[in-house]
Amino acid sequence: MKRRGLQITIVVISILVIFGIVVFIENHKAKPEQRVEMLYTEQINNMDSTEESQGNLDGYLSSDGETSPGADDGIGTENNEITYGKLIFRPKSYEIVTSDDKLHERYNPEYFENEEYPALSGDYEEEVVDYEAIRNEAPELDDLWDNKSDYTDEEAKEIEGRYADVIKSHTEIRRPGIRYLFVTLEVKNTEDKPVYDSIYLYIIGDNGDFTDNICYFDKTESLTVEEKIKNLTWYHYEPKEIIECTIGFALSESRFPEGTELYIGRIPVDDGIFDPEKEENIIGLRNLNEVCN
Amino acid sequence: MRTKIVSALMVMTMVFSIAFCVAMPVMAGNTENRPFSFNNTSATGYSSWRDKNDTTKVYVFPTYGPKLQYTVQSKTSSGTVVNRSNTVAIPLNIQGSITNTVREKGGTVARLKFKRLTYAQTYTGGKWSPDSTQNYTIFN
Repeated sequence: MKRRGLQITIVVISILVIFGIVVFIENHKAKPEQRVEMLYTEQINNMDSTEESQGNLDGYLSSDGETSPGADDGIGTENNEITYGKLIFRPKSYEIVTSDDKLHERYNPEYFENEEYPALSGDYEEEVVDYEAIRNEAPELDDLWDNKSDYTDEEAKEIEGRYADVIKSHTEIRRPGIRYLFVTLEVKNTEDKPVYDSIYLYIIGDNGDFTDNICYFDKTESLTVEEKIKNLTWYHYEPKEIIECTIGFALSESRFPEGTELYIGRIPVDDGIFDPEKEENIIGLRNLNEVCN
Repeated sequence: MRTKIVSALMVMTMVFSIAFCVAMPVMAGNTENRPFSFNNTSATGYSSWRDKNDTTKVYVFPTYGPKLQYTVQSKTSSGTVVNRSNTVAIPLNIQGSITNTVREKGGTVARLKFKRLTYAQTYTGGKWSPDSTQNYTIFN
């Protein structure tokens, strides 16, 4: 009887471990999505046919071998305005949300890219790799990762396989806190014709990090999660139309720790490290009204 | 008594195992499409930097203009710009998924480097995203 009970326990635990491994693998591989090509292609065709597809594409002009700001060297931050091609953004206020209660009270889940309230502190995983330590311990990896030598794919795999334990020993899973930053702004179409474009703004920290990953837009025209993931902030602006809207960013504590001075705007198209205080198309959040409810 | 203890342990094991089997969510991929444009009177050019949150392929969808070559670039911890993909040519109106090693090699940002194939006084443009939710035509 005793032996039977032990056998049953071992079997159950084995089944659960196998189940757990399968669930882990399934959750970490790419999930199949519905094909949205027809809808997406339709959007592209609509853009081309109304000639507004080139809306704000001038921002990526570059000269021979060099980068240049292109149309990002716009009007600048007079009256807290950020110019991007045919649109002008005028941020007015911001709110930082760190509690579920406030998030649920003030923001509609329908306008998040996944159509659900995101998790807040402690519920996100980040894999943090100490590449500097790895490079110090395995100079051959430093050589490989910085393309200092000409390795074939097979050679690269062999080298990384050889140092797999080194990489693993300097990798940890963290659960950083997440703060949500919501910015309310006006967007103006300066053209006498319709413009279809996205809200292409960055949140920049004084630590040099930045993100353009907008996860919330309360004027989204996308109707499904599949559309929102690809086109959340894309909007059809009528000629000279001004809209007021709110966009949201998820700020990881590991990238934008509390105390980081935050800015909103357009980053320069070059290789260098820039100073957000000195860039014309970047505004400090301290210059906006902070909403504290 | 012993049977009850074994049963209780089994139940507790099941509960804890199920709890820890649920995968924790990760930061959402940066999948929104943004426009890009390149003037074919230049030999090379670049898109803006965008943050890259996962190891998925970079999505590029050229919708107008001459065919270009694309390379995914990132930055090392010291700020050096490096190539993190092969240079691939994506035809017009093809949704391309470019294999890259941005995240695998420690990068957190990505941009596209454009290289013209033929001189032309016209632009090439379309949309791109650093992360993606599915693979289209794969370019390795």
